Amino acid sequence: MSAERVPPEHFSELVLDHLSTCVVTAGHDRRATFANKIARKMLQADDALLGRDVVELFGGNAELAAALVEVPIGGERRLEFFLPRVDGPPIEMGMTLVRARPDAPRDLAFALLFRDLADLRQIEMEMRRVERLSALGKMIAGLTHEIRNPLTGLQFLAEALLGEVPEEDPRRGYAVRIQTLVRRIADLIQSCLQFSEPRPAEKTRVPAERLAQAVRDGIGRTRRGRPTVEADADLPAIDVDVDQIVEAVLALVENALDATGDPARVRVWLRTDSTPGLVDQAELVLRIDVVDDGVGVPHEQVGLICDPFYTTKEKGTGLGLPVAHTLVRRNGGRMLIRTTPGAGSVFSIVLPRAGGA
Amino acid sequence: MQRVLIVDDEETIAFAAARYLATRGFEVEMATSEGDAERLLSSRDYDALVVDLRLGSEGDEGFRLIELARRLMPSIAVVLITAYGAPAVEARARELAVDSLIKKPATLAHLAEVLTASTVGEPRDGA
Repeated sequence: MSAERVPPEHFSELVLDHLSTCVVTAGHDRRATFANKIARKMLQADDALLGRDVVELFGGNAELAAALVEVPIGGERRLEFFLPRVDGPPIEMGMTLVRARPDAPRDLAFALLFRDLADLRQIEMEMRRVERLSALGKMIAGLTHEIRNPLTGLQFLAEALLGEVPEEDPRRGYAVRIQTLVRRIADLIQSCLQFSEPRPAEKTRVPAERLAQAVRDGIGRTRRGRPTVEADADLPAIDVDVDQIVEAVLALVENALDATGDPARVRVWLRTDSTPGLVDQAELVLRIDVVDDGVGVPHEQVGLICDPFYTTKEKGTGLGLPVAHTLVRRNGGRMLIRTTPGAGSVFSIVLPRAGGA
Repeated sequence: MQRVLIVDDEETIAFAAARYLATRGFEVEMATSEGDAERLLSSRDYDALVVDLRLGSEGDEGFRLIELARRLMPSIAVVLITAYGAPAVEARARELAVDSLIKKPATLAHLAEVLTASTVGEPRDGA
């Protein structure tokens, strides 16, 4: 029995199509001779990009044009620039431009390896956040447990006192007030534990449409106006604890409503995303974007907004986003934050498709 | 009168609980260490044991006291109080047939309610 032989050029194409880095090659004349799958998607072009001038493909980028001239034979150049998009804000791009040695085939004079830096930066930031929050979670869990003993002592003393002081004694008021404060601390502990020790996720396989409906129902119960919830067709099923994910989405919606003050300027969008590396090795993820056109988050605050007790709001507890983050992690997902100060934010929950890769 | 032993290494908790339960018609004795509790359990009978899970560095000394109490007094009512509501704690409490598990922060009103419900009509032998 003889195995079917794959022609070598098809094999390289197959491999290149599975890379998470965009790859475009060009001849000496700067005309594109190949683009892998993700590059075609990123450049919003199909096979029609072959034969086109690569500088033109990148919106006439002058830095790229200069680099193509300057890069030495057999050498490389590193570039970062913004790629204009027809359907949204420009994408921050990181590129390595490689110039082949003279003996390379004529149509492989240049290789352009590039990727969306925003995705990478969001993922890096998310990883730092996970480490930071896990350390904070351990500290808070330890602290809350230690507080519960003396707090119970206070509550018991107040009750014992009330048991011994006659009904008509006005000093009973002191004990009653102690109890009120004890309850406030107890509530705070409860919220902290939701962040540091949430109940384990009870995952079931659900179609994304059902999750979308659960989000709509949840938003309906919040009584703060109703942002729209859109769900694309043909969404994948996911393995999650629906209640926990809905709670996380609602926290993001709450946050967006605080940023805009207007439900009409907040939108929840369930869609798929096949950007590699979003959630570990998953090839396809369900992405829940909570989009607002509010004030955005200043860059110096982006790294902090998921920290417990970090709040810029007058009445915030500072636990909404940390709890949402913990719940998403417990369900095997990630939270990504893309924000433009003055123009709005996209808080995303990305979850692997059911059944893994 | 129901006789209750309350064990908590946080002396304030044991003290306040003892005072409060006494005004509610219970006969209460208190211990603030595993050793003291063992001596009391071995020296006389109780209708109920109210015990904190963590009484020392191991963190589960309360379970040992419950086992001892059950061996000495099979019908004793047991209330376990804990600041750690982990699933493993709940499972072990079920194995030991704990009548009630109370999580801190708790209230004495609730403790008294639970004690009344679990000891009523089952006075200690010879009481």
